[in-house]
Amino acid sequence: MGELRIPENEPGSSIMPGKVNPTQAEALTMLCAQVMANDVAVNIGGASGHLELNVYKPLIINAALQSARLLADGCHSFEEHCVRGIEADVERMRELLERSLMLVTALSPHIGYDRAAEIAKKAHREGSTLRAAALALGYVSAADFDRWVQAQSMIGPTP
Amino acid sequence: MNAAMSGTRTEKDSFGPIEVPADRLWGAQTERSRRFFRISSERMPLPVVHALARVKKAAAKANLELGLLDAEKAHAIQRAADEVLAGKHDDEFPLSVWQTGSGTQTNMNVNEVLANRASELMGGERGQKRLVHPNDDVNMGQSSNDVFPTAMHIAASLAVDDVVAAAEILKNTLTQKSEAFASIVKIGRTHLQDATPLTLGQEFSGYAAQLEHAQQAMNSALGLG
Repeated sequence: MGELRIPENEPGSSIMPGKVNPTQAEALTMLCAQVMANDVAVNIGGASGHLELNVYKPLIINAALQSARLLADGCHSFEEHCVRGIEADVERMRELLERSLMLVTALSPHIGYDRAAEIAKKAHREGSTLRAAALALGYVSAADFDRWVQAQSMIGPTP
Repeated sequence: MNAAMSGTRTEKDSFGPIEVPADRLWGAQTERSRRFFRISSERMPLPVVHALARVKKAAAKANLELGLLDAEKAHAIQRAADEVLAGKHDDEFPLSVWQTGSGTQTNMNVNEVLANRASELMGGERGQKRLVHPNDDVNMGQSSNDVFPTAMHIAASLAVDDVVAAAEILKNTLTQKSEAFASIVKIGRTHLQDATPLTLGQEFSGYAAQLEHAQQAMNSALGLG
C-alpha cells in the first residue's frame, strides 16, 4: 500500500543492495506466534492435571514466563525501533483515496444503492473516475456530485 | 581453598549416596535430577527459583514465629534466601524444565542450596555434616504442591507487571501518532479491499484501544482491575 513510512534500521538483503524491510513488525508477529503456541501448551498443561496434582507445572510456568518476556521485550522493541518513527505518506494516501471507487457509497442516500452500484461498476469496467461515470450515466449533476462525494464528510456521523 | 580443585563430595538422600561437584551448593536430589533429565537446553527459569527463595524465606520466618524452627537456623535460612534473591547463586540451579511435572526436583534444589548455604553461614559445612536439613528445616511444613504453584504465581505476576508497563509505553506512542494523524483522510479497507474512508488517526486509535483492552485483561488477571 505504501501509506506509511517506517524507520529504516538496517540492510535487508544479502544480495539486493539498498533493500530495507519491515523487520520490527516481522519480529513482533513471530513472537506473537510463539506466544499463541505457548498458550496452547499452557492450556493442555492446565487441562491435564491428574486427580490431586497437576504434573505439567514446569511446562506451564516456563511457557507463561517466556510469553511475558517476549511480549514485554516485543512491545519495547517495536515502540522504540518502529512505531515512534512512523510517518504518513500523505500524498500516497490522497492518491489511493481519490482513485477509490468506494467513495460511491456517499451517493447511495441520494440516488439509491442500485444506481450508485451501476456508477461504480461502469467506472471499474472502463477505468474511468467515479465522477466521469456518474455524469455519463446522468444520475447526478456535476455540482451535486462534488457536493455529495467528499471523503472528509464520510469519516464520522453527519453533524 | 579452591573448591573446584577438590573434585566431588558425597551427598546422601533416601536413595543412598551420590557424588556431587564439591564446589556446588546443591545436594543429592538435584544431582539425581541433573543426571536423569538431560533433556534439551531449557533450564527452570530463574524467576521461579527466586520466587521459591521468597517462599522459603517467608516459611522460615513463619516457622520461627510458630516455635517450630530455632532462631539460628531460621535466620541463616533467611540470609541464604536473600543471597539467592540477590542473584549470588544463580549457577546453583541447573535443572531442566523437562523434569518431574510437579516441580519437586526444583523445590529440592532450592531446599538443598539453602540448607548448605545456611549451614555455612552458621559456621558449619556443606554436605552431610551440615547444620540445616533440606527437608526437615528448609522445607518444613511445605509440600512441593504448596510451594511450587505459589512460586509460579509470584513469578508470573512479576512478569506480567513488565508486560503491562511495556504495553503502556507502546499504547502511549500509538495514541500520540493517532493525534498527529487526526486530519489525514485515507481509504479504509475491509476484506483487504477498498471500503469507506477514515482518518489515519482513527486507524491508530484502534491499535491503541486494543492495547488498552489487553492491559485491562492483564490487570484483571492480576486482581487489580
